Amino acid sequence: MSSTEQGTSSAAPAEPTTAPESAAAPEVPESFYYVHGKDKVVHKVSAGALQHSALIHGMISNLGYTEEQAKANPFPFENIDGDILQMVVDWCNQHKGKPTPPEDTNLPKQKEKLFDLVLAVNYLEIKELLTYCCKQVAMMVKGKSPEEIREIWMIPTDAEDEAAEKEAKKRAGKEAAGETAAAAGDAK
Amino acid sequence: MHILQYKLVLHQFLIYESMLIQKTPIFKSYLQFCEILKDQSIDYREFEFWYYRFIVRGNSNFDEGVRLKNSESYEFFIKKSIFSSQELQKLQFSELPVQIVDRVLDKLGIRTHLLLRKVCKSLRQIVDQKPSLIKSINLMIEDYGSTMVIESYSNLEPEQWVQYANNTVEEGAKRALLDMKYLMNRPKLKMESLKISVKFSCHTVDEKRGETQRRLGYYRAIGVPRCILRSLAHFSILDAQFVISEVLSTVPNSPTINVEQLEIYTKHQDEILCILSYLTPGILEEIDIRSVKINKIRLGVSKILKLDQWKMAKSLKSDRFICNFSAANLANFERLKIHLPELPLEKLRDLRDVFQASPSFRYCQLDSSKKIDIENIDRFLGIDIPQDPPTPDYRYYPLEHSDERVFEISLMEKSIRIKTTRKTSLLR
Repeated sequence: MSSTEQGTSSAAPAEPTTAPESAAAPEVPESFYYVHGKDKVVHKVSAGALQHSALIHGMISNLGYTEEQAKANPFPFENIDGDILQMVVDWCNQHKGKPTPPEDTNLPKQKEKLFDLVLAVNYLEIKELLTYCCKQVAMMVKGKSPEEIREIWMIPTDAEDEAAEKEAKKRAGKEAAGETAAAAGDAK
Repeated sequence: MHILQYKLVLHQFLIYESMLIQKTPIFKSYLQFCEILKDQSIDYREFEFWYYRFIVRGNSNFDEGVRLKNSESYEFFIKKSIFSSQELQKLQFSELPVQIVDRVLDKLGIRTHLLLRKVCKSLRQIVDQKPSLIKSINLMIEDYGSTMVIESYSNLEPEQWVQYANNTVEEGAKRALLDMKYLMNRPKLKMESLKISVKFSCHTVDEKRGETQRRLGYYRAIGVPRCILRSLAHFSILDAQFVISEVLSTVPNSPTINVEQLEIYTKHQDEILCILSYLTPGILEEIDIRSVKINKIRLGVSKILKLDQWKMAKSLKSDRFICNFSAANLANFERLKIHLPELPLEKLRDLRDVFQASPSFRYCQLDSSKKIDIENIDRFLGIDIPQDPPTPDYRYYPLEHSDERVFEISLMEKSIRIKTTRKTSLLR
């Protein structure tokens, strides 16, 4: 029984193939999204440029965030400074749809900005830019002595660190004691 | 769903949530999130934690739980983030998340890692957890200072030279040894070769000043396991060697250093013993014992041939005159190239018997300092396979375990080469 069924199914004519997709696909106008940082300055970024950021790209593709919604509510990145976000947006626009070069020389040289940039890029999950930034941070200390590294990265020595920790604990202890005293006072 | 993916979606969802539907009750928001995740939902309490942290507290950084310093608890961080947002502080390196520091370290070579270890405790912890990419280490302790040449598997800085030039030889050697011990204790260590040489020129070598003990001190220092590394930080090699040897005897030998080839320039077998017993037996394939001086002297091997590392090695090379061993002690080796003070025919016969019985044996070169009594060789080795035409310098003997291969011994005045070869080489 089953064999006849199989026979008929195999004999049936193959379904007509759908029209070739490449020819049918029309030119989609580029969509734009909006982001703002701590300073609330809104930046307009194309979807192509935003593809670099796994976080935003995921929000668009996974959660179906549309262009209309985007206009009304720009992506809020309260933890990113305005100038840093500007840098990130510029980089994304520059590298839109392009293969990323092995070296990027436009990154900031001042360490505070660089660290902020690293954090922002890590948060937005822009993999290529993160690689450049990490390399830049690494190059700051290449060929330097431990003392120089400590100075460049502003890392306290172990002794300073311990002293600071002790002080913090002491302060915390005092605060706790103060609180309990206040609570006892209230109870009375 | 993979845990990371779920975190990513949660992250995106919470940003989305904070943007659009800010007045959504938390439980409704949770139900919506579960709908997105479909088959696998997350615990409500966990969702609640992130929701409050993200939306109510406004702390939108997901990675803040893991930082270089103070990674105690989330509550601590919530507190800290409230304080730090009030004070305008410049961001510092030590505030970067651990995974970024990790990425930065990936961009730096071993040489810089060694320096970073000396910067602070937290960096030392991160550096120590990085898996080893070391291909080989060549440590040289000499009169003018110590040098370590490190080869790496990564193409970022494939070979690095680290010089330890200090006021005293001991000081430089101590720093080199400490660095080396750290490198040997990195996780996932698998090195191709390890070379150690302690060489002092003639004018500094003085037996009265305890040169032998001093050399041994260096070798012992390499072998000391990591658990007592801290106590080593203040040691002086000359004074503390007795302490070290005492510690060695109390700590059980744990051979955990994975090295395929060991090359060691040595004067005494105790020096080899210090190193060899820490290398993983089975992984160690080649032992290469070199002479420190040009004039060759005898080297007793009675202690080291009892070690598993010796018994499981496949290749042995030595330009020292090896003595105090029996033919059976060499049965495990596939390749041998050794020097002997003398080679009596009885010993040659024993060696031949051992090699003939060994299925893995390939090649052996024995160099003797004295002439070998080739004329009487037939009396000891027995009748060989006849050749056509006969050659005086070669003898062929049948192999126990193979019909296709034969055993070839080539005879020279002071050197004998033994190998297995195809039967066809008999016919010229």
